[in-house]
Amino acid sequence: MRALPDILVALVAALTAIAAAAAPTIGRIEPPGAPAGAEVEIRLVGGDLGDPQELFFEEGTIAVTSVTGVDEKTVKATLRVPADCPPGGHRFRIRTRDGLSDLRTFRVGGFEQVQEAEPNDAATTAQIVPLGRTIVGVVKAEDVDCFRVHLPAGGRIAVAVDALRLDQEMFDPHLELVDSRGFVVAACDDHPLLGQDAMLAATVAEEGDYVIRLRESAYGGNDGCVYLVHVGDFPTPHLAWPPAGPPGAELDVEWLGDPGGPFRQKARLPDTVPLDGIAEIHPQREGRTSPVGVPVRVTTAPAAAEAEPNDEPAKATQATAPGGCLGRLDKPEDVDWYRIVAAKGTSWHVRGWGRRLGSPIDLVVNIHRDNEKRERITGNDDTDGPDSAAKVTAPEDGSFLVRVADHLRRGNSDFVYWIEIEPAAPAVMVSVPPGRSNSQERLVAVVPRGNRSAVVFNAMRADCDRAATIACQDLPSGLTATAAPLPSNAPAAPVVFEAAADAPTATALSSIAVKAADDGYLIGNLRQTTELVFGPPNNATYRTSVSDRLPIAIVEPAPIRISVDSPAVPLVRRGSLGLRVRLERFDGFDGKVRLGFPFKPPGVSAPASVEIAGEESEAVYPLNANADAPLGTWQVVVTAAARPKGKDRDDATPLVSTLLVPIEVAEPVVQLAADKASVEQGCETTIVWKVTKPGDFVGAAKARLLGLPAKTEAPELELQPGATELAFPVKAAADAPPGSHPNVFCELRVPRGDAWIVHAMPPTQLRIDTPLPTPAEGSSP
Amino acid sequence: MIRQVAWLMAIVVASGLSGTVTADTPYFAITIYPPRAQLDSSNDRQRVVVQARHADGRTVDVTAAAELALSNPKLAAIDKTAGQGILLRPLADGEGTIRAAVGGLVQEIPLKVVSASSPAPLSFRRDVMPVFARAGCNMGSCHGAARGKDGFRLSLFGFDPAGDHHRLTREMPGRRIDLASPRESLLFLKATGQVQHTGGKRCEPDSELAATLVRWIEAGAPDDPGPDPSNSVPKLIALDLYPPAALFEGEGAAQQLVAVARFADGTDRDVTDLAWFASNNDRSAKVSADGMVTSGNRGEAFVMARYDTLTVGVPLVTIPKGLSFTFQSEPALPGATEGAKVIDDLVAAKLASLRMTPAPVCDDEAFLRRVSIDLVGLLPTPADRARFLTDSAPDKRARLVDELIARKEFVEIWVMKWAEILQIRSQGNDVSPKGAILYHQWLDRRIAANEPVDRMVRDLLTASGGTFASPPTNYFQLERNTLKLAENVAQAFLGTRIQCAQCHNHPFDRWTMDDYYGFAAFFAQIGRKRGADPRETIVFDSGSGEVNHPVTGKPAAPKFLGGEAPKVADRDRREALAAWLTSPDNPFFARHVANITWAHFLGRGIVHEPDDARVSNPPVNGPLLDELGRRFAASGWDFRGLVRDIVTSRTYQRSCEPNESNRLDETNFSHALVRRQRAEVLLDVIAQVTDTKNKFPGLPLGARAVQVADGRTTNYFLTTFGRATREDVCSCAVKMDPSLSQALHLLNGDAANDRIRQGGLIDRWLKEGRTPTEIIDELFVRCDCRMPTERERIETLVTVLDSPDRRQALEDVFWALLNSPEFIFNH
Repeated sequence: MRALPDILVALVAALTAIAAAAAPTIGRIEPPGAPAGAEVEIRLVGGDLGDPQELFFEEGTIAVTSVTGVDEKTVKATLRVPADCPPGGHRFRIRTRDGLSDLRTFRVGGFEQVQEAEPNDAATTAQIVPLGRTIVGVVKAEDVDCFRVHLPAGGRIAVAVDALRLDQEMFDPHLELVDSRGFVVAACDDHPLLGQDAMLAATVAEEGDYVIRLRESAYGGNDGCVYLVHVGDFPTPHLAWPPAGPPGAELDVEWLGDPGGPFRQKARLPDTVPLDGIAEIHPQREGRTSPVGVPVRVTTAPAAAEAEPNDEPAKATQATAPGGCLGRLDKPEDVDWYRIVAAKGTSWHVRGWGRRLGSPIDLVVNIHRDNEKRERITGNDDTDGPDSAAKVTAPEDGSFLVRVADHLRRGNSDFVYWIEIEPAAPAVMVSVPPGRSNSQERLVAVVPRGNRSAVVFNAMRADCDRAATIACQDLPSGLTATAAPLPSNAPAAPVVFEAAADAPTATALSSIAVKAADDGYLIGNLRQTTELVFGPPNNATYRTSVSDRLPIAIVEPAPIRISVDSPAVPLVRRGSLGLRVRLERFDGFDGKVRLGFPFKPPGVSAPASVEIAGEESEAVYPLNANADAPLGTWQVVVTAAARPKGKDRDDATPLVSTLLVPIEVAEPVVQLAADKASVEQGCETTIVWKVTKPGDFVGAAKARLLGLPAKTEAPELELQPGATELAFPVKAAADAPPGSHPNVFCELRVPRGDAWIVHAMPPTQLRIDTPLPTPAEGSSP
Repeated sequence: MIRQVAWLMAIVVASGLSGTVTADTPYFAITIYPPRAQLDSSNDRQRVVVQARHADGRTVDVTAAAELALSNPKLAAIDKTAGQGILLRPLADGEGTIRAAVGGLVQEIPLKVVSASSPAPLSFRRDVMPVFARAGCNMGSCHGAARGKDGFRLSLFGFDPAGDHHRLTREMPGRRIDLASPRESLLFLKATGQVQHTGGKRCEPDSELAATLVRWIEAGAPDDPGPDPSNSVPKLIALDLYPPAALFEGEGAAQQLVAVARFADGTDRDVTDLAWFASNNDRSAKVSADGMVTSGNRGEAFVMARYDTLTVGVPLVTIPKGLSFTFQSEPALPGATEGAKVIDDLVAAKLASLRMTPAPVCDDEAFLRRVSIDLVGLLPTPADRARFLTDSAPDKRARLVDELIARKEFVEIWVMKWAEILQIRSQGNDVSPKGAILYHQWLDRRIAANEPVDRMVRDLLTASGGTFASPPTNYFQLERNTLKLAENVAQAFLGTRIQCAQCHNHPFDRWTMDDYYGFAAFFAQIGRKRGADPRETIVFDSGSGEVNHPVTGKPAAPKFLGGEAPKVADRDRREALAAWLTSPDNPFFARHVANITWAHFLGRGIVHEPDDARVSNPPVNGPLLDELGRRFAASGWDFRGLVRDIVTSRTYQRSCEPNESNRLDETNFSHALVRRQRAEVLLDVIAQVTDTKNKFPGLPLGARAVQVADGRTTNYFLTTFGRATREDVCSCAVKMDPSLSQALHLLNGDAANDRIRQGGLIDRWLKEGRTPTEIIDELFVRCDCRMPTERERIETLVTVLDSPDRRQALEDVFWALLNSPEFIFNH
């Protein structure tokens, strides 16, 4: 979880409207993974874990045979990992009585596990480990863990460590293989394939004992720095050639990067394109399978293989759009050119895949016109991490050129890349923005039975300005969802989930579809990135997980329910409106309630939160519109977090919400404007507001001046329909502060039915002057 | 300078390195200075001095006594009334010779006179600007201050003549310069003290300096002609100072100096009256404003002259009058390398010139302790000592050196030294702790493999890539400011500090602002971007970016320090720089690395401080430094070879006991210097002798202080004893001076007492049944690498036996030994 200094957390909490739902958290998973086919008891350590009801694996591949709460901080569970379970991180959460935990992953893969046995800090006390084992351990503060293996002359050893990829802690491991004389035989800190995690392999000349030494890269470490070290003689390639293939294909892969040299393998790609576009294939050689998967891009784009020499535009390799360019920068200073056939005016995404596929390349992609001068149109270096992504519209009929290079002008047979040219299709994708104090906050919907909960989806529009609706599918029994419309000018839209009073508690994944409002055509869906591991500098994100489904949990009833009155009057530009919120308390709940306003329509502002004290049952949530707020009707929602007495947190119970309520942003009924005025201390003046836009209303509007300087006063006046001006007599006391006071404005409340439409007019200036000095006696005028 | 010391050596060698100085020894030779005289205009003149030399090297200024004659008396007039020296004034064009005769010795130099009838035009840059320098007007404390003084500003030391001309003639017209009435100009009145002037009188109204100002104003105060006035006058290319050396006998001897400026058009000029003179040791040789040197106490001095942008100096030595001296040459030590013999010869030559007798070679115990601390940062164990003392082979010292150099602790010492030079430390978001450790590991592997130093530095200076994947790129993260980076590179790898030249031409060195910005331009195109790891930065050659010269406002072209401007288009400028910097022909790099190494083992650099080589801070033994640098480069930059040369030399192995002749010598390596152990080594040897383990943040228990990778690591002991934080490139960041807080920390802090307890050695030995005498002997051997003297043993034993708590008493002995200077210092 993102850790912020207390003061920052407090500040953020004060600024954000709503607090988190009751949120169990998982800090540590022991062990953090298991091999396929194993049955394993795990211990989850975290917070608010009392009364666990379900351990929910999203893919459902891993069977959970028991879940037992030990205390508020600990849960025990038994897992059965099927023999054919896909290796890698499996997403899971815990649902408790009234909450759903943050997302964690459980890593499947490796060999039979052995537990690290301290003391093992030095070569002399190294723990003896046979090959073909996975060591489960932890690097504590400034700790070094040593494991001894015995190797014959010419024996091969491969070691891989899962540390940061366990998605638990900012743990950057450093791995060394040391011989009996203390010399380092092989070392790895960061691996091109594994990022901060490490993998090494070596063939030793002499028979003897060798020590695997593991530490944090900067001699850090803590109790959360758990690891899985796989020790064996498995192959260790980090790159596939070709690095891309169509779904369902049996790819004849040449594995690159193993110290023993390249080797080949037939590898079958999945039948569908995975969400992140990548399938991990575990290389196999002579019956040994690597516990480390090598990524292969799965794509329907047809490949055009580079035809050397193509290091100048005139010799560019012909490719198509859509399509892909398959090549490598095989020597320093190498550049590759491709000619892409495309019709004039068509738009394309040109995306480079290199580092994501285990290649050391730092791609730079530039797009040039295919004319004599070959002017550069656009280009990109690092949009996708070290990989590149650019969007181009074909400038002329026929073709454009793509130039591929390494940022540091390096090159060798490992500098493999795949450039994919896809049509720039219009789309509206949605996601839930990460919380500011806790990035996983609000990424799930937790709905108490008989209550409501709201999730606000941000819209990311790509060449698409169509009005849309959000459709939530695959909802659990007893749950309904009501989505606010997503007009073309809306940055976001709230969705309210409501659980029936008798809905069974459950956890589910909802598919979120975005459909065009007019024809119902599917134009997008959810693409949710969940941040998992943070580290320096500035709490940067190190690990994320992507999903296209929203986790939803139905939990036990909450102690409060809120509703909101539909406002009888519009919110006018530069005006304000109070939303009346009513609170129902259950089971004797008498604590404070903090209201929030999570979705602010464009141009509308609201305070971060409004509190309802323990003895009260309603509150007004004030909204303001600026002078340029788009006109129209918006569906908004108010949320509430209950704080039981004696608790110092707002997230002790789930966050509930009202139903959607419409507010109309309208033009002001009447508009006034005033000239600047001045007054001498101790005197009186008149500020005249002229009606610049007469309004049609019944009865008298009430007007008063706000923002007057101290020690000045003006009476409240009435404005009749048809009046042309409003003259406020303003009295300044003899000691009224001299100077210019630029924010004097007129609040005008216009009656409509039993309610008032509150206007605020553009401010004017009142200058207070000091009196001229009295002329000295005898002086001439 | 080097040439000058070589000359001094030559005369010493010629005199057979020995002899007795007596006052009545006849002169051996006389020399006229300058070696040629040239008069280029009717108002030109040339000062001439004659120096006589005794066979033993003593010199005497015999100008007054010399009989001077011209081969053609029509060419020039000899003015003997000029005060200092003899002045030649032109009469007619032509060539001839000047002949001097003293005490039967005769020498001739050529004389050439051209344009004898036409005066040289008055030039603002050549004539007027030097007046401001000589009179001190453009010093930092006067009008050369950044905001000027009393409303009038001149560029500091005259770095901006165009700006100065503008301020003189365009600011406050009619006041500073009064063209109608030149002698009413404030410039003249203030300088000559005729009106109130905060700076007082700078010259007499009838002086030549004042006359130059008046003549210039009378001429209309013109700037030099042409569209680019700075190119209309010939460039100054050299400044020569004569005589190149002097060896005074006794107090009160005098020698007039002559400064001659040479210009690009082949003309020269006697600038003795315009130069600014200073001595670095007034006690031994004081110089007047007119360049007259007077000898004082025994010692060496370096007298400098500055004119325009150039500073040059000559070495002067004063020896006692009537000193009786014999220099005994000594054979090379067994096992000494060829390099060691060269070192010994060159040091001996200098000592002989100073009439100093060096100390003898130290005994085996002192050598073993000294070399162990210096080479591996540890004390010899009692077993090491026993083995070494019983070894009777004559070359056992050289073999010990080989053994120690092969140890990994030797590598760690030099990784630590280079880590200071490269400033390896974590730094905010620019260099993460992981980056610092990887950088340190990179260095460690290079030094462990004895990689040629030139390659290591070249790889560092041209490093590109991620700060994790290519750790030397961290060098460019630790200093991201282009100008500061250039300053760091000059100081770290060339041993010269160019910082002053950022704002003005260096007053005590050769560096001008052109040099500074030309050098900085090599670093103008370093690009940086975030790496895949948020802690990592990719450093690369961006191919664009310039450094603008603040005077011209235009991009400065990359130019090597004191060298040419290479072609850098379409290549990484750093590659050009690194190739030049690490070339064997580079005049600075090899000498600087050799000097750093020398300073580590001898306690003082041949240039001191090692990273402050400048004209005004010359090497104490130029030939030695030259030879060390030359041999180091020629060896393929074999660092271990360089160390072997130094450590197997007699010079390194001398005792620290001085004799009468070298008692005051701290600079010429006539005896070993007693040096406090540096902070890291001291802490490590305390841990070693007490059998305890160090603990540093970010390192496992038992790590040695010399292994600390991150300069930001804090430790009270190391800070107190002056460990460098590596925030500054300066070699002075390592504090080696003893201080009260260090003494108090050892006396009262946890460094000694707690560690003695923690290690439990006394307890263990008592339990093993060792006697107090055995334990006392063991403690002396452990701490000081020697057995106690009989008196030390008896007195200590009596104290221990008298004590009711024997363990406590023995621990007290241990504590006392750890607090003794003999333990704390290397000697």
